[in-house]
Amino acid sequence: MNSELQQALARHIAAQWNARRVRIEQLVPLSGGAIQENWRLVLEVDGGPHHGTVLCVLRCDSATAGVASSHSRAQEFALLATAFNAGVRVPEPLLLCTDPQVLGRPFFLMKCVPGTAAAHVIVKDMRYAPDRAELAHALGRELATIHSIVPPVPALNFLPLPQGNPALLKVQQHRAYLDTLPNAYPALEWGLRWLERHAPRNVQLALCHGDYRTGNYMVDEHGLSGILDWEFAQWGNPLQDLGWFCARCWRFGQHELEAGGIGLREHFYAGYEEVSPTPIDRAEVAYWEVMAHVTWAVIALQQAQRHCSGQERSLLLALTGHVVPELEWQILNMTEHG
Amino acid sequence: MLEKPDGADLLACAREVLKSRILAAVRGDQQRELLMVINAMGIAQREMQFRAQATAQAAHQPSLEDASLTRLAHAIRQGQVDPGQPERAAVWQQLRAMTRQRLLVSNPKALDSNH
Repeated sequence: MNSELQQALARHIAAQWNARRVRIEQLVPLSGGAIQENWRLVLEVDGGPHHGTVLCVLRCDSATAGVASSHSRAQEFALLATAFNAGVRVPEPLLLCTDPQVLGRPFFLMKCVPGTAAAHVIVKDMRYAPDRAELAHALGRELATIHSIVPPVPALNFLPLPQGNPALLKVQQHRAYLDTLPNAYPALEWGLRWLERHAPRNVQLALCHGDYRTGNYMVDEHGLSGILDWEFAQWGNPLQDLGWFCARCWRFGQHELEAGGIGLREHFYAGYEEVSPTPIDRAEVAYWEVMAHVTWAVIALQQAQRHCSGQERSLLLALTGHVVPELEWQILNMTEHG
Repeated sequence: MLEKPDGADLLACAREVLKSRILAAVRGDQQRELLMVINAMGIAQREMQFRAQATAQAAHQPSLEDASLTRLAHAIRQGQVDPGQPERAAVWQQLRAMTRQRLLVSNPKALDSNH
């Protein structure tokens, strides 16, 4: 980010925060996805309610972003704010800017949260959140708090209300995507037909994080420090998030630690049930773990297709397609009978 | 009539150089990228081996790129292989065998441990 942009940014923040002046002491790019950029900022704020040193993260669309199927920055900010106000442990949202005059693209600031979100590090390095039972418990509590947010929420009126059974809608969406591909995926079709036949009747809607898994929360040496990555949040069946978190495909090699590769399922459930007014239907979570494998397979196919179609040539996208056979293997094993 | 060593052999050599001579010398982002390169080359190698074997044993390998796969996918979606249907167990075995072959190319390690 060149100095001209930095100055525009500092002036904008000062105006928004009623500060005499804002100085950018530090501006460091963080590793982010292909679609968004994250920058770590140290701000010196002179005057106003944010007077002092502010450690924050700036999140904006990358300059070369294509069409994203996830939420806009403004929508992500609204989700963060809603979650924050509901008591979910998320980075505190500080400022949203949709004026393209400042940085050329929408962005928001949120408070820095300590630690790391790197999944492969977290599952192996016990210096992060050394009390793993407590970590699983905390992740359960946070998820139940997210699920306490139910429609209607005016700030979230950009989220579509699913018409009908959320599980059957997902099956439909996945089938529609597979129909756009040149090759057939009979193993995924097997999984989808199983999901269609076993769809839970429960259509209780709540805010689903949409990507609640190890890799999307921060931990430091004390424990859980913040839930991240709200770009896929939707109204849906909350058990979808439980299934995603406990799905075998998201355990980063720690297969015995069924809760996100970091802890025991029962500790995660106990934390959830501490907050949730209704107990977890354990059989239904198993359904959503199958859905998680099928959903991740479809996402992987979408990413591989970006590469194969020439839209974005990338070794990472190309290799992502090659996770599909293992997902199919798990899906077949989970759906052999019934 | 093409020059030897063939593509699969070249790939194997190049991959070994990267793994044994270069990997130890890089860190951080470059290390991650190099590991991806080595992974991709491994997949390419195994795919080439598979295709070479398939040509030799065409009659005995289930076809991975057939129109029959499309028909199978359609039949499954329409519920023609649901519980109670006579071919269900056989189809499951067939799918599992095909997926096993796909895994042998894309990620054979996934077949190692007690899955």
